[in-house]
Amino acid sequence: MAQKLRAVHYINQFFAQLGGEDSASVGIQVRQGPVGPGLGLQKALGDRAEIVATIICGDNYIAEKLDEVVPQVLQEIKSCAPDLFFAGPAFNAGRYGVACGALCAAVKKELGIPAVTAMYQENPGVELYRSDLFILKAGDNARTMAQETQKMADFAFKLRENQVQGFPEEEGFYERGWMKLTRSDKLASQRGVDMLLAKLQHRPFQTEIPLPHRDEVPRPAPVKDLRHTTVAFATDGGLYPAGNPDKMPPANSTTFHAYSMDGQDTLKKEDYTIIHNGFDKTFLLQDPNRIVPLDAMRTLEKEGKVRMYPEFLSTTGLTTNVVNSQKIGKSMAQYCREHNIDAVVLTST
Amino acid sequence: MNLQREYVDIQDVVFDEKTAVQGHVLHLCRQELADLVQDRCFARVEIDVAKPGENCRIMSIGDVVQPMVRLDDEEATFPGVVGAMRQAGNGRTLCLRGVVVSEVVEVLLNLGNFMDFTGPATQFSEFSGMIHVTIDAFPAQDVSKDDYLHALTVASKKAAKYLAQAAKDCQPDQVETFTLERENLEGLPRVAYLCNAFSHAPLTDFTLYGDSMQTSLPTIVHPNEFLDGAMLDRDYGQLINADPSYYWQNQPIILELYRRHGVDLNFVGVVLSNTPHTVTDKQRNAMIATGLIHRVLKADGVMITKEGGGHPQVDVQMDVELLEGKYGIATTLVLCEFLSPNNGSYEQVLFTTEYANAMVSTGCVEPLTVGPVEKVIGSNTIPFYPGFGKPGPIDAKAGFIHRNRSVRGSLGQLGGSYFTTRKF
Repeated sequence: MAQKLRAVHYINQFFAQLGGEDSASVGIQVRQGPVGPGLGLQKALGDRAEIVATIICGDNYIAEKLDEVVPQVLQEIKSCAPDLFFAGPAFNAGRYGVACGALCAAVKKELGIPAVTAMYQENPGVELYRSDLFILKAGDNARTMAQETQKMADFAFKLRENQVQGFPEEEGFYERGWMKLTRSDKLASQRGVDMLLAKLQHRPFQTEIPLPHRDEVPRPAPVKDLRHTTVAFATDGGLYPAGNPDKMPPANSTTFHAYSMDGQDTLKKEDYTIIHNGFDKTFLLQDPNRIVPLDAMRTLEKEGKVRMYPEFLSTTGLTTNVVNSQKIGKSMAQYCREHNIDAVVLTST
Repeated sequence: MNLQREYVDIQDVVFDEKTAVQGHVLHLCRQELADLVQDRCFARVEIDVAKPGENCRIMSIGDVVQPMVRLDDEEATFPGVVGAMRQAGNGRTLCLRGVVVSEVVEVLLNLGNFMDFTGPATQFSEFSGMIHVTIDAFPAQDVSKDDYLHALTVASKKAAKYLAQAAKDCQPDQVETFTLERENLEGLPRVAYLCNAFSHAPLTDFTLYGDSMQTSLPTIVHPNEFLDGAMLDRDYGQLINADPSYYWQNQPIILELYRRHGVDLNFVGVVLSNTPHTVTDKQRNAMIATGLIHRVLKADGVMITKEGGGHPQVDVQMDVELLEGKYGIATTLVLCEFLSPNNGSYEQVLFTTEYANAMVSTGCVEPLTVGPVEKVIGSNTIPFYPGFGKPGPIDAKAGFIHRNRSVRGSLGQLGGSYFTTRKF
């Protein structure tokens, strides 16, 4: 018989029976073997795996200092040399859920072993960590403990054997934010009219496209005095020097580049090209100042109204995913900081 | 308005000395068709045929048109493009089924496409199951790209009319009548259709009676006008973002609303609106379009579609907010999830509005690998698609990696797609 796998289980102070809210600040404790819900989990794991250690931590202790405490717990997990990691189930306990999510994400990333947790749909841990890992769906209280630990054990083995191939409804995890093309037996037009009639008649319906989660971006403070401000241009219109020296793509950019305009009063059309599949380039190719208005900026500069930074930052903004857009935006901001640029005129198409 | 569409099913196309339809076989005189569509913009025109199951690929397909002729007024077939300016949507029209006319574009376009008749790409497009009469037109020397494309868009409509005319003496296989005037509509929910077209620039546009909607304000049109060839595709600049004419002639939302008209809904009409460039123009169009739906069509619910790429999502957001927020009219959006090809399910719409709680997906972008073929129609290559596969020239005959959305007719934004997405 194959050797038993080594499992580590994380639980909070409540499930370790150290007490409720009054004990929520207790620090990290490591115990040998299963504790509390771990007994049921061990039963579900059967002969295939053994819970070698249980790590216990107070909900406040970890949730208030995730950045500090998660690496400490991770260190303890690592020292047990586990093959599997379990956290929870956290049900609807918010801080516990966040801790379980953070630990599973860290274990998955650092140790690369199956890390499994389960919680209720409204637990804030779901929203925070669903894109990083498989979070199993659980009820909102411990009544269903035996079922949840069984599901966690089964899922961990499946994960270890790379057998998780189904969709959330079949496998019992929360959607992670990815999608796959599938064929329906109805045309989109029919599904649409079905959905509209359901909506009109107050029958249940399920949208096929989720709305995005948007970050709030705070409005920056206005520029007080342009005369003492260094202003640069940044564009996603895909303006590059003729010949596209950095081989920027016409869509799906991952980077930007800065190009000098030093000593020029205007952008000459023969010196530039547009690499962008998303708009009619005719007018910009006629006069690149239409996307990076160097000519107008030089006039303002001569009038002493502004100080211009002699480069423009350029990328191609087309079908770039949000992660890469954020990466490009951050690296542009970093570039501006390093070059003492105070303000940026953003131009788009 | 009462439109009677008579369908003649075509099961095969063979080259012959005379063009005629006999027993579901279209006999085609290539030379006669080539002469008919010849234009000063073309150096030469090659007519070919591609059939389902053939080991064949068409590269760079422009418009795809259903052969159609208006039997009561042949002169006014495809009004404003090749026909006289008379209202479409009334009377008898003959349509061929199972065969389409496809343009093969011989100038390099931004967003390339293709179509296969065997192999994995066939699952994405209804067109792979139809016989294509291809018009492969090579540009004459010193002709501008715009002049060439304009001639091509006219050529395919002439050909579509010509092929349908060949079946005038045939017994139709099916007859369908389209009229909004029906009894027993009372008590059924009043459903309108807000169709956001994309007329961006000449030849990157949708046309209404032959003209772009670039300067048009939203207008009420009769659904029969779509089904009778008055609304057509002319978008070569953003080709894969545009449904070809076939899908305007067989407008999926309109056909579905007609199918259920008097059954479980009351189809009250269509508002056609463009999706312009600027925010002010978008606001104006959304205001007028939704106002027409509220005050004139008096709808309870609205189906909304858009064409084009990302920015027309802003138009549909405005539509939804006005219809639901201001007028209390229920909406459902049909969208293709193509904004971000990495398939993040939360990156496919640009807007967040609580009212957009009913959206139908026509699919998402995935890489597609196609193998070698024996025959290629069209000498043009298509640009490599960044992000999928190794950068480099695409060899049409050898096979390549592109994306499912580059298959002509796939994942259509007008709702003619069997695809959706599963989230995981």
